[in-house]
Amino acid sequence: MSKPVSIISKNFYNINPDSIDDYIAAGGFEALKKAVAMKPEEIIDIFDRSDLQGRGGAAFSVAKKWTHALRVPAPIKGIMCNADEGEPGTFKDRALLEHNPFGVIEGMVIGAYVGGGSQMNHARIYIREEYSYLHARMKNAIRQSEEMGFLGKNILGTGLNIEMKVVSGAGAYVCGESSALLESTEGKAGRPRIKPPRLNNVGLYNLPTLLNNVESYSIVPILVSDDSEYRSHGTEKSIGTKMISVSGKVQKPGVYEIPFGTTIREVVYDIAGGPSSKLPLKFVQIGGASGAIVPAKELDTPISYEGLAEIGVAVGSGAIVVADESNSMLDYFESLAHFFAHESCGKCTPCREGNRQLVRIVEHMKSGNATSADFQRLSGILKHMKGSSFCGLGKTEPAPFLSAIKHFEDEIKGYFK
Amino acid sequence: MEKVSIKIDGISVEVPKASTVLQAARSIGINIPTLCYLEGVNKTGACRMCLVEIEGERGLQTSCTLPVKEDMSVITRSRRIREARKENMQLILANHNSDCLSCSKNTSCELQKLCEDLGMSGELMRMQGQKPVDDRSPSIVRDPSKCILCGRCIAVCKNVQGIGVLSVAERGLDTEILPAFGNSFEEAPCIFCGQCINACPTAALTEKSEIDKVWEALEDNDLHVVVQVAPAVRAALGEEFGMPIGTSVTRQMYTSLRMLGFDKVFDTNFAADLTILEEGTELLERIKSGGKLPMITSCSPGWIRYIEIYHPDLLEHVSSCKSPQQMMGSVLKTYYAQLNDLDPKKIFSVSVMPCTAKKYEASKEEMAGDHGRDVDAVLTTRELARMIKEASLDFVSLEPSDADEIFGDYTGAGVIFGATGGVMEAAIRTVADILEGAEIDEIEYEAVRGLEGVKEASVAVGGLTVKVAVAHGTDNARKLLGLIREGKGDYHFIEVMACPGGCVNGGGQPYVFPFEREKYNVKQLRAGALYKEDAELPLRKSHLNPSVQKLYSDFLGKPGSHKSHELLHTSYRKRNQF
Amino acid sequence: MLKPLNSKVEENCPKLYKNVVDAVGKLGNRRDNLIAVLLNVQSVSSRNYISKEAMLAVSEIMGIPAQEVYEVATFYHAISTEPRGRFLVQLCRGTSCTVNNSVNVKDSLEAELGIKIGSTTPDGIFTFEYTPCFGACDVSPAMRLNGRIMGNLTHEKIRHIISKCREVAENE
Repeated sequence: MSKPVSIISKNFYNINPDSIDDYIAAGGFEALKKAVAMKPEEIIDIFDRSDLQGRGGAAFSVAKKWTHALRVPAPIKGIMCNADEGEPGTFKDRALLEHNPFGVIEGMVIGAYVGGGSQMNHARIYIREEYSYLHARMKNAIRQSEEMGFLGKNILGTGLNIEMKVVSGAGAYVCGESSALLESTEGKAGRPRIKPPRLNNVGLYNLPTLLNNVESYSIVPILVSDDSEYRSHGTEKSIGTKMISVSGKVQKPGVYEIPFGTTIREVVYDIAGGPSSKLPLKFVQIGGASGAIVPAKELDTPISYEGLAEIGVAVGSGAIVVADESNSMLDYFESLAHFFAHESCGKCTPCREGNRQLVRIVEHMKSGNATSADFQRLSGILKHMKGSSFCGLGKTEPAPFLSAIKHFEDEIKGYFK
Repeated sequence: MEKVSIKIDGISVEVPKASTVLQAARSIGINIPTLCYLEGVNKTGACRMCLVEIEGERGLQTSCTLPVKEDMSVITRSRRIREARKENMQLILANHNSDCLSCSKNTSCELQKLCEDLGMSGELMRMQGQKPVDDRSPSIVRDPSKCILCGRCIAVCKNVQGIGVLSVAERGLDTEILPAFGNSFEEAPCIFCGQCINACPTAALTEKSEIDKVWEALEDNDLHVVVQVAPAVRAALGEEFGMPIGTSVTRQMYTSLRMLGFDKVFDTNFAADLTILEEGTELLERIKSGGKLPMITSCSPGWIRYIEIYHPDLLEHVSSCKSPQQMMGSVLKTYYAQLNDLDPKKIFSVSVMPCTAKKYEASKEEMAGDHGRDVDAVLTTRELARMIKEASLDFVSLEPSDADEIFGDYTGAGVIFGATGGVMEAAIRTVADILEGAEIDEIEYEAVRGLEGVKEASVAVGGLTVKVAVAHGTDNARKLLGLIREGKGDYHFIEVMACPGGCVNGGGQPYVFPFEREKYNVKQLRAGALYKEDAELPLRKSHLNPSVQKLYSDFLGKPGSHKSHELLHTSYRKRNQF
Repeated sequence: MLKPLNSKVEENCPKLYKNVVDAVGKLGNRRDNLIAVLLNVQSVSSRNYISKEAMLAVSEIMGIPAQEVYEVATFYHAISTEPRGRFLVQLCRGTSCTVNNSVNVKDSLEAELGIKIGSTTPDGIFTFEYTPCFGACDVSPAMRLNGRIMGNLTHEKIRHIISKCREVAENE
């Protein structure tokens, strides 16, 4: 019987998230104090031995990213926290912001220490507008951190300077893309930037910038403090634990911290209270709206980078949406198509026009007028979007459609005449 | 210059380190297709036509934005790329009004050309539904059903002209490029220069057509229809009939106009000479009596709108002279009418201009008198070409002929108005003679010629050092105005043309494909045709134009007279941006 | 950058102008704060939107070209350039909510409000629209009411919420 653990989430419901004293009493900012007595490379080694991957969905090695930052010394840098969490089905960052705001701040300060600017760091926590009820909490946490000298000038006597602000989104999933996030932070429309240059060279206000997800920053102080418990969990290739958000046809939807290697079945049945409907489970979608559709027969797949890769799936944001036999692929397609059509920034042809056609095809499917030509068109468009889009939104969007077509071929082809 | 060695489709090539893969490929004759890319103006990687493969890297990348790297191996041609290009084009077409046969950009459309180059075949996707056309303004028409959202218009307006009227509104499927707030171009702080039209690969942006209006007049036996043609038109009209850029087609142009049915064919250059007399007199008067200096030219209606909207505090500097188009218009309906015993109400006055703002100018309330409107219809060079084609004239084989007398007579000074610096040079030729009190022989002022954004010159004549400046493109005008505001603009006279390069590159000129613009210096070639004609004319100073002299002695009196002011001068006012 | 606007907004809409001045004063007159300013000005507008006059005022006070203010205002879903109802009812159409049959919630709301989704009631009290996932999947099916999350929706709950809104609107 699998159970959730509480390493990343150890402070959840145990301390008052609005009190820095509570956070400190629970061991908060010890990691920072320890870090500033270490060499940046030593800190990076800690992440390396846990093979910590970015938790926003892109899964880029934190050790590598922070090493890149270290290799771009500059007097002034940007430190960004991506709290846009727009992936449908994902709300784990919401929980981290709600229950452990100081942990995020501590992670960012350690990040600035390792790879930040020698004279000044402009730190921004970009929180989606839909979480506006959490903005005040984070602003409060920043203020208290400043008062106690963990932010501001000459932090812990190291000469490190950070000015940190909360920035609000305004309803755009595409702003979760790193460069679009920067554009939005700078007060512009959230359209992704041309790469190269990459943001570790040219980022916020054109400064070299370090950018990580809420969960990634939250894990940093835990590992720096003492990574032994974290490393005691997980699998060979996926060390540690992951915050996941479970929803859909389960009895206890919510945010859970699970060791890597926990199977999807264990999450659904043991951790999330089992299915909420009498009907058999049909599929789950893992990793958000741009994640793959996993048919019920694959439920025993372990949730880990290598475990999911075996079935051609990525961990993504760690969202798990559970569906049963009453949920048609068509309704799901409709939800996905309308989502991406609404969220596409509109800059590039494959994503903008691809989504336009996708919506049209789904409408035909719904009205019973979809032809086999439409199906050919659908396949061509998905392939094109995957290979030719400007940014990750268009490139990853085809994943659920392609995986659904693969696993539910009969059902889907049945919608085309 | 540092170079790197790369391979493109297996071909080794050395290119400057700062090149993009696109530039590198084009340098060896591989013309990777592009739509949203416009050299020096727009580089956004949005259309995805220019995708290439880089050996050792996943995914396709846009060559227009990708910098070259030592030992890079580029693949521009593979099955994957060819299929991606075609699929991409299908998606563009699925949201594009492909009624090419009835489109004004048929045969000069970049999308059309690219479909041909890509070898598009079989069933092509078509746009569903309709989108309303915005034709509210007198000069520019926007058709969103033809817009491929390349953003080149935005880039030209913001980055080249330094204005920025157009916005990208909304996002995703609802993305639209239009003036902010959905305003018409007239409500927007648009100056109608039409550079956006020149940048548009399709017919999403075109001029407001007056072709039907002109046919109607020509086919109305009651009307006496006269036409004037601007200098810049003759330097470009031939391009519409396959002639090389920079071919001067003056006398065939006259023939074509006559064959279209115009009762009289005149030349705006006559009025250009006239403008010099009026403006030169005005300048000398200001210099003598301590009037507002520097004085700034007023023949570019895009420029006038620019200063009225964006720099109204400096309006006093602008010359009160109307533009040659308007001067000609009012002279034709008064003096010409008198000479030929015609009722001005029966005269329909048409002009052919390289310019879209001239349509707006002709429609301005103040550009009229007791004689009616100065100018009744304005055609762009492109519109004239369409009428010539509609009349089935084989332009290239037409016999040259001359313009009609008096109002078709001009000097070389009039011709060069179409190039940036031309008005200034023409003015100097006259003003210098007047100040010196003698005929000066050296009349080619190189310092005001050419494509540098802001040009300066000093001319020592008659004991005075006349300091002049020339700006073309509104962004350069802005720089000069900044100097004036700071008190550093100690010039006597400034020429401003709204369009980069002057009228030869106006918003109404024949469309030039970007690959042609990269290959040929269009502005220079077209201007060259005008300077050549000037050099070959017997008379090259406006004040020596005998027909202009006759106009004064017979009718106007002298430059700056009461009558001149009534017919040939105008006033300006501040206009709000919104 | 071209000179400031000299729009007539201060003259014609002094209250709106003051709202903008206040918002900019509170949040800081910097380009980065444009989105925050727009959200703030929208939140104090009676029709919960950003009007053309508001955009011109922001442009003038912050020194940002009006075209850019317009681009930003129209890009973001949380900013509306059309007037909205006193109560903004946003129904999630995300994957979780779809799986949990938000379609029933839609039907229920349409019945209660008397309008189809994607419109505003004639009395201007309710605007009802779809909105993308706002991360309340653990309480789905969910909606946002003027930004506030209301989850685990049932017919009863919906009826109750809507009637409370009508009460509030009536008393204003």
